[in-house]
Amino acid sequence: MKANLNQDANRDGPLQIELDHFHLQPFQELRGRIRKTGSHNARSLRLRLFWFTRGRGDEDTTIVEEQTIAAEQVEVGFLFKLPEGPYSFAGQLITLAWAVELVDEKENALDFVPFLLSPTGEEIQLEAVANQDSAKGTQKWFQFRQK
Amino acid sequence: MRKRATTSSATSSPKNARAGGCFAIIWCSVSSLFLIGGIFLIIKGVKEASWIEVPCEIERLEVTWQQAEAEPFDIETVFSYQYEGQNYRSERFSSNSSRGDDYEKLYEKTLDAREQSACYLDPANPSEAVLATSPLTILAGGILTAVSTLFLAIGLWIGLSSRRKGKALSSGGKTSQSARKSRAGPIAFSIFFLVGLIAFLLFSLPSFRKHQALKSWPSAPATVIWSEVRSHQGDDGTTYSVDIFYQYRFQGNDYHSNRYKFLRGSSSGRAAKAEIVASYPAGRSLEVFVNPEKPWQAVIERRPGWALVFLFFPAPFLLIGGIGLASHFRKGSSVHSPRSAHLPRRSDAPALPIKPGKRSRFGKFFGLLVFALFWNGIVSVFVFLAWKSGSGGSPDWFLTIFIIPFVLIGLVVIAALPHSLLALFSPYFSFELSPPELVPGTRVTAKWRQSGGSGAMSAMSLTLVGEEIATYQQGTDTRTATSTFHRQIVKESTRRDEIMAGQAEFVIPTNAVPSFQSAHNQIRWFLIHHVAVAQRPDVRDEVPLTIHPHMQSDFS
Repeated sequence: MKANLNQDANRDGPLQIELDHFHLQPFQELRGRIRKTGSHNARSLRLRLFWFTRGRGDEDTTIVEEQTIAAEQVEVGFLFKLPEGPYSFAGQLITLAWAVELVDEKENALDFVPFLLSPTGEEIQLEAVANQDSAKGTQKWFQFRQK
Repeated sequence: MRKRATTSSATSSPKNARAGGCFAIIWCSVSSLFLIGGIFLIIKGVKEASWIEVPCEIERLEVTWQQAEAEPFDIETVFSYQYEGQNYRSERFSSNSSRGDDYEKLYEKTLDAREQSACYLDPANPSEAVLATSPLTILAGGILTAVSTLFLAIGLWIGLSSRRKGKALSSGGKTSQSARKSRAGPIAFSIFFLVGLIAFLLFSLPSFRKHQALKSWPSAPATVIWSEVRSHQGDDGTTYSVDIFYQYRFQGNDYHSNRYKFLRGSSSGRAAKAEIVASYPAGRSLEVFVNPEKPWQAVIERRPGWALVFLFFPAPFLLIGGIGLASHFRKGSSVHSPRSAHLPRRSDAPALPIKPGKRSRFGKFFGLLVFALFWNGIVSVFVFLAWKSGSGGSPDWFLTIFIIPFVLIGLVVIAALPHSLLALFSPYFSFELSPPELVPGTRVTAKWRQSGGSGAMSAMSLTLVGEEIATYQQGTDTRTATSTFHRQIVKESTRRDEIMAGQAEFVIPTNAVPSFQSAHNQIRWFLIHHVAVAQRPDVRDEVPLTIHPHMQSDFS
């Protein structure tokens, strides 16, 4: 099932992240800008490149890079050099997604934009397969010689 | 209007947040009750500490008894004192109840009071005085307050952590939440270890020492005053204890005691206690063993019996805490940089040849053996108690029915042991993979050769498997879910020579997700080597594969 992961961000806020591309390969440059569309009270701004997991397992998040953004400017460009992985994927238990997020000094999310990172630039889909493994398709504790 | 990338999403945070919030409310409520209790004790202790100490003349101070009472012993006293020129008289030993069912404990209190020859009076009401205060009240209140405050803080922290609305999703990462989560484990294990250590130092160690010293206590003649089985009503039913009250003569002085063994306590099963009591009727002469340094301490039975098991109570706490801490610090020693964190390092390629079976099969067998001994060892204690209660004529049905599932689990574990033992003698294989560094799309050659073990092998298969593994918290349990997303048989054979030594070629799927491991989520690749063996457990070994992401040169 497809669902947008923008749920945690303040999408109509006074600061918005714009990305040039959303489908990226490892080692590419992620370019974009932060646009000020209204007044805000943030004293300091940080832009984070990070990945996170969702799904059955407890959630894991890792910030890969963080940049300090000048709070007073109307428009600020940014560039992140993307790492080799992990790739964006969606499985039966785990979904791994990449995003950039703008936060203020109190760790409040001001904007959040997900993107995809993989060799094809698409999310890799992991479908469940039947769980069967054994020689001749049988699973026996003991096998006796046939006379 | 801006464009957004869409990604698949399974469970989202709000569900976890609500569960965390409810849990935090219950946790905080219970902690608050204990906190109130702790504060109450401190206030009581402080109030008592403000009482004034004045010299007093003890006219009477002794432990009296009434067999019919649930707590048969009481300290009775009469003492007089002077305050601001006025004479007063009091009969109160302490502000708490002075009754009890342990004669020795009360007797020691009278000795302490006699040694001090002082009483404590309330300056606001000088006619109210006691011979003994409870200096431990403030300490007990302080400990209870500190511990419950800690638990309350943990509850508040859980509650605040679950209120993530509006907070940065990225701050759930290394900088805060996962760092906090990674601290939660060692904190829990440290608490476990600390509880075990305190229980060992304050309870087990002194009890072991006393038990050792008890072997050299001299005997003394004694006479039984009364003997009976006492009932104790508890939350989980009625328990019973042996109460034999006796008088004995040691070094020319008469003493009393109602200690049967050096560890006091009550348990289910009345018949066994009734049997002991019947052998010590009132008026019977017997020999008791007396502590020569504190002659008011005596026991009838020097052997500790099953009570000794309780001295090992701190062991599981020390073991779980210690193993948990050791494993946490071992994990923490390998830290990657954030850019490559959670991806396998290219230098992590397994040493060749890979010998997958030996370690896992020995580990499985000895793990099962230790578990079987541990589980059945504990269960056997309760089986013995149930059997003893049954053979004594009054079977403890609750205990008997309660232990049935535990006994069944123990039997299943024992039944699994022979299979696990036989597997140790099944064939072992060594594997070589080339190239050693794998990325999606790599053509791999896997070679295998039998390196040990024996058995008539009739068929083999080699299967490439990719799995998602997710670890999650459900209540207080940590659970693991597994889903297989790739399964490809790369070789099957029934030729004996090929089963013993052979090779297979296969291609890692070009769209494969590389190996990945974070704190709770994992993508794992491996080969299942399955060999059907006659009259032995089949070989079912896993050969781990590390699939790396593409390198920069692959994209140019």
